[in-house]
Amino acid sequence: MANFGKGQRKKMLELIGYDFFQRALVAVVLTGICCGLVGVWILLMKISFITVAISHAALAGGLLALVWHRPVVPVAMIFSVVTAGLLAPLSERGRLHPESSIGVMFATALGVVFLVMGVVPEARTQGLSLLWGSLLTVEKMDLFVLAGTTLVTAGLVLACFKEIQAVIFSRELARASGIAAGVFFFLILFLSGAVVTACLKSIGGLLVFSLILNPAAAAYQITYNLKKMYALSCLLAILSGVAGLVIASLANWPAGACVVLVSSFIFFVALAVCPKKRRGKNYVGEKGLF
Amino acid sequence: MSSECLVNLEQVTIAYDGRVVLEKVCLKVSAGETIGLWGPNGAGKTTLLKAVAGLVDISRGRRVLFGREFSWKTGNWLRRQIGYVPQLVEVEAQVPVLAGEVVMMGRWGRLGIFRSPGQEDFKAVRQAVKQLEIEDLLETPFGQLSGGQRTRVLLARALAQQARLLRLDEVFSWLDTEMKTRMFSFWKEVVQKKSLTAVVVSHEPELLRSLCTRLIRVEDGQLREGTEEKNAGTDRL
Repeated sequence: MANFGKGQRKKMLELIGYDFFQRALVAVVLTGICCGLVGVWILLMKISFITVAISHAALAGGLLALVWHRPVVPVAMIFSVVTAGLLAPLSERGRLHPESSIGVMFATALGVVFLVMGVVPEARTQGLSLLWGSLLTVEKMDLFVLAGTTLVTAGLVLACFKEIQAVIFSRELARASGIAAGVFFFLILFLSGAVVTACLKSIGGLLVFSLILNPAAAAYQITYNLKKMYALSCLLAILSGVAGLVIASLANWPAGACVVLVSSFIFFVALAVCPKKRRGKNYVGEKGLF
Repeated sequence: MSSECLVNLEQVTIAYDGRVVLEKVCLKVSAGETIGLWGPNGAGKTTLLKAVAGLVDISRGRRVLFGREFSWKTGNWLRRQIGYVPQLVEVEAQVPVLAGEVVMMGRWGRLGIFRSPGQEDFKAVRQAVKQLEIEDLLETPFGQLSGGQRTRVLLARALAQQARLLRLDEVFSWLDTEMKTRMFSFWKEVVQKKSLTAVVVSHEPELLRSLCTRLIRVEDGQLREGTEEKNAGTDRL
C-alpha cells in the first residue's frame, strides 16, 4: 500500500515536469477563476438556460469554423456575441415568452452542431473534442485566450462590483436608481458566453456548465456575503480542476469528466454541511459595516 | 408649497403587445405634493408609476421630468432623481446581500463606476437608517427579513438616494397594524414635514386619504381625479 502511494507520487512528480501537464495546470487555474466568477452571476440571476443557449451557439460557431478551416475561437466568439445580443433584449421584455425564444435558439444551435457533425465527417473528431474538451492537449494560444478572458471578467467584477451587485439584486431597482442595468446585463451575458467559448477546448462545451454552476452553487450554501461567494466559487472551481486533473492522470480517466465529477462531489458536500442553514435566524454577519 | 412641476405627462398613451393600458392620460406632479393612485387590479396604476420614472416606453404623448424631456440621453440622470420602492415580488430575496448593503445600493447610481462610497454617502445612509429605525436589521441577510422589514429597508434605500421624488408601489400591503402606525408617523415626520414629493400606489383608498394631498383613481386606462383638498364627498371612494 505504501509502495502504491509512493508510486503515485513519483508518477505525479514526473508528470509535473512535462510541458503539456504544466499547461493543463495553468488552464485549470484560469478556467477555475473565470468559471467561478461567471457562475455566481448565472446562479444568482437564474440565467442558466440563456447561457446554455449562448454556449451551444458558440459550439455551433466552433464547428463551422472547423468546416471552413478558420480558427475556432474567434468564430465561436462571434456566434456567442451575436446570440447574447439577440437574447438580452428578448429576455428583458420579449414579445415571446423568454423561455420559448431561448429554447428556439438553443434547439437551432444544437441542430447546427449535429448537422455539421453528421454531414462533414472530418469535423466529427474535432467536433467531439469541442464537446468533451481535452485538458491535456491545451496549447499556448488557448492559454492566452483563457488568460485574456479571465482578466476581462475579473476586471469587470473588481471595477463594477457595486453595480453588478445592484443588478443581481434587482434589475428593475438598479435601472430605477440610474444604473445602466441593461448594459451590465448584456455584459454579463456576453462574458458568460466568452468564458464558455474560451473553455471549449479545455473543458468542452457540454461539461463546462458543471464547472460554472457547481462551485457557485456550493459557495452559495456556505456564505451570505457576495464578495466571499465570488472568492469561494473560484477557489472551489480551481480545486475541482486540480483534483480532477490529478485523479485523471493517475487513473488514466478522461480529465474533463473527472473535473466535473469532483465539482459535483464538492457541491453535495457543501449541501450536506450547509453552514447557512445551520445558522438560520441566528445569523450574525460582519460587524462594523456601517 | 413650491409650484415647480416635477412630472408632466401630456396625452400619454402606453400599450403592451397591442393592448392599450393607459390612453391619452395627463398628469402633473408639483414639488411637495403627495399623489395617491388607486383603482382596481390591472387598471394601470403600476404602469403609470413606471411611466413617471421612465421605466416604460410611451407610445404617444410627451413626458417631461424635472423640466427635461425624457429620452435615452437623459434617462439615467432623470431616474436618479426618483427613489423607487417596488412591490416585494419584484425583488430577488435569495441574493446573498445584507440589509445594510441594500440601503447602500441607493447611492450607487449617483457614484458612477470605479468610485467607492465616501463620507457623504455613508452620512445619507445613516440618516435614512435612523429615520426608518432599522439599525438592528443592517447585518441581517435581506432574504431573512419579514415582508414589513424588507419594505422598511427598501424605503431606507430610496431615502438614501436623496431623490427629489419618491415612488411607492403597494408598500403598505405588507405591514401589520403596528407597523402601519409607525409608518404613518414616519410619513408625517419625514415626507410631510420635509415636503418631499411622492407618488403612492395602493388598493386601499382610505389609507391614501390619510397620506396624500391628491387622490387619483385609475380605471379603464383613464385617470379620474378627486379635488385638490382631501374631500371624502367628491372622491367617490
